[in-house]
Amino acid sequence: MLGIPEHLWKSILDTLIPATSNNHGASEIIMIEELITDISHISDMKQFKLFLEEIPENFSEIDQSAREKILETLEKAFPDALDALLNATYTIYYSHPAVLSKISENTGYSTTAPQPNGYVLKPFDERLLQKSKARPAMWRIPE
Amino acid sequence: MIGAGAAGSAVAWRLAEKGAEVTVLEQGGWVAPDASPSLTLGWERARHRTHHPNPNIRRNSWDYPIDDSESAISPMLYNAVGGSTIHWGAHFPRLKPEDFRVKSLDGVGEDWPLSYFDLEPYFEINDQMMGVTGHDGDPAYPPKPRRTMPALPFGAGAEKIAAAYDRLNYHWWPVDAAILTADRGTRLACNNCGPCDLGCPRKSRASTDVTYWSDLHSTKIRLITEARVSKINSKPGRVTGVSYVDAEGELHEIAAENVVLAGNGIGSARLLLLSSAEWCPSGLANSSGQVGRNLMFHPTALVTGIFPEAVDGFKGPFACSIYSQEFYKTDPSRGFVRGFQGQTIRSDGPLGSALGTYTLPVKWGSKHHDDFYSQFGHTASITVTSEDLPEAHNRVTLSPTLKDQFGIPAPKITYQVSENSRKILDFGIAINKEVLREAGAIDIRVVDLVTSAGFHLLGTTRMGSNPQTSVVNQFGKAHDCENLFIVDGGVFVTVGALNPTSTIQAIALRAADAMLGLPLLKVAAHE
Repeated sequence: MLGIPEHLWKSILDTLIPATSNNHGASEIIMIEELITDISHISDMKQFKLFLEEIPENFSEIDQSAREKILETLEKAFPDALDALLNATYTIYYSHPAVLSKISENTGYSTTAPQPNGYVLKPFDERLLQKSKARPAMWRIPE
Repeated sequence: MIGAGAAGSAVAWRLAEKGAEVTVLEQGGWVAPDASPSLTLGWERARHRTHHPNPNIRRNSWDYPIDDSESAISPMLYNAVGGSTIHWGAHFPRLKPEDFRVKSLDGVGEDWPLSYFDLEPYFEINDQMMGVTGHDGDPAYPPKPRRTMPALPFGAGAEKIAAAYDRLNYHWWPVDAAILTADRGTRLACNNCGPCDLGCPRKSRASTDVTYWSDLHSTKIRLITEARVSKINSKPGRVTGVSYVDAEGELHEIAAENVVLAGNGIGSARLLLLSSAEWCPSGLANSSGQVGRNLMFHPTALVTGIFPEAVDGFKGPFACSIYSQEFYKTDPSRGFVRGFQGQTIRSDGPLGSALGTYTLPVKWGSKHHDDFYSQFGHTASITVTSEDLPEAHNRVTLSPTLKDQFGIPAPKITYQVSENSRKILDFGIAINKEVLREAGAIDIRVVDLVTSAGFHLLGTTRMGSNPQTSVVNQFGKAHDCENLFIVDGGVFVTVGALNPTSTIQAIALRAADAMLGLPLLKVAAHE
C-alpha cells in the first residue's frame, strides 16, 4: 500500500474516475495491489512515494471538488507521478470486463476481442474519387 | 545478414533466390501470427504494456534498451523475424520523385545518388511480395501498376474527411497499404479488426515473416534467431565476419565473405560504433564521421476531430484509409521549406481512447465519463507527418552508462525538433483543423508533437557519392569496406514526409542485385 491506508487509495481512485448512476467508480474495479504493481513498471517509485506523501490525511473526508483541486496542485509538482497513476488507473479500469460490459450497454461496442470476428465495413467506393481523379498531376521529374 | 526485418528479409530473399549462400542473424525470434493479443480480451492492455512498440516500456529479454533522455521523440521498434513489421500499421506510400532531389529543388539537405525511377522496378517487386492494396490513378504519383485488390474500406470518419477535402479542393487519395483485401494463399483478406500493430492472425497485414520468409525456397539460407550481434569484425578495408551472443550469453564468431547490415537506423549505427578497431577507432565505416549523425524521425502532430455522431473509428486498420499531399512541397510564402502529408487515422478501443495513445487523454475527475463518451467511437484524426531534414547534431551515439543484459553498450539518441519542422507542424495543425471543421467536427483536440511517434529511424548511415560526407554508396556498399553493405533506413539521405518502409525495401532489393553483380532492373520512362 506504499504507506497509505486503503480508504485513501480508494478516494484517490474515485477522484480520478468517480462512480455515476451509469458507470463504475474506479475503486469498485481496481485492486490496489495490482495498481501499485503496474505503477512500479512504468514509474520512478521514489518520486511516486513523494507524491503520495503530499496527499492530506483527511483526503477521504472532503468533497470531490476539493479533492480534485488537491490533485491538480500535486499534478503541477509531480507531473510524472500523476501521469503514471492515471496511466495505470485507466489501463486497469478500461481493461476490466465489468467496465467493458458497461461501455457495451451504453454504446453497443462489442465486448469480444477484435479477432477472430473483426468488423464489417462498407467496401471502398470508387465513385468517391470523382473529384480527385480530375486533378492535374502533382508530381514531376526533377531536373 | 544482420537483421531479419523489413529490409533484411527482402535482401535475404533476393540473395538466396538468386543462389547465394546466406546466414541471417536475428536478435529476436519468430512471432506466431496467431499469438496476437488481438485474439484476447486483454488486447488493449497488452498494447500498452507487453506489446508496446517502445522497447524501453515492454522490456522484452530480446530487446536492447535505448537511452532517449535527450531526445524529443521516443524510438519505437521491434526485434523479431519480421522486425518492426511485426508491430506496424502497414501504411505503404513510396517516396516521391522530388524527394530524391531536395537539395536541387529547395537548397536544403542533400540530393540522393539515385532516383525514384532507379527504384521503380524494385518498388514493384516489393509490392508483389508484400501484397499491396490501393487504387491506381493517384495524381500525386507517377503511374503505378494496377492494384489487383481494392482499397481498404474508409469507414465513416475517413468518408467525412474525404468529402471535406473535396469541398476545400485539397488533394486526397486512398492509401497504398500492405494489407490484403482479398485472400491470397494462406493470407486472408482483412476483416477490419483494427489493431494491426498487435500482429495479424489472418496474415492480412503484411509482415516480412509471412511474406518474404514464407516465399523462401532456397536451401542455402540459414536463419539463426536470438543471435545478438555485438561486433562486426574487420581488418583494414574489409570486414571478416561477426561476433554474436546467443540467448544463453555464449559468444560465437562467424566468418563471412560479405556482411549485410539491416538493423534499423538506430541499431545499425550502434553496431558500427561498437565495431571500432585499431584501423577505425571512431567506428567501422566511419571515416566520414557521419555514422550515427543526421537521425530523422518525421516529427508528427495529430489533430483529432470529435464528431456528434458515432464514426466507429475502432473498426478498420487504424493507420490506413486516406491521405492528402496537398501541402507536401515547398511554398516559399509559408516561411518554411518542404511540407507535410496528412494521414487519416481511425480511433481506438476504450483503453486507447481513455489514455489518448497518440491523442490527448480523457479528462480525469468529475467530467471523466462525459468526456470519455463524447470521444469514444466519435473521433477521427489527421496526422501532420512533417519532413525532417538532416542535421548533424541529431544523432545516435553509444551510451556511456546504459547497457543491455549482456553488457553491450546501448545506443543513445540525441534529437531536437528543428525550427523548420516546428513551422511545418504548426502550419499543418492549422490546415487539419480547417479540414476537420469542414468535415463536421464539433470539437478539435491537438497534440502538437506526438513524442511517441518515433517509428521511422532514418539517416544515420546515409548514402552518397562522396566518401567524406556519406557512409555508403547508392548500393549500400560502405565507402570504407568493400564487402560491407548497409540496407536499412539509415541509408536515407532525406526522408520526405511519409512512411519509409516501401522505399527501404526497394533500396534493399536493388542493393541485393548490385551485390550479386546482376544487371539492375529498369522500367519504361514516364512521359
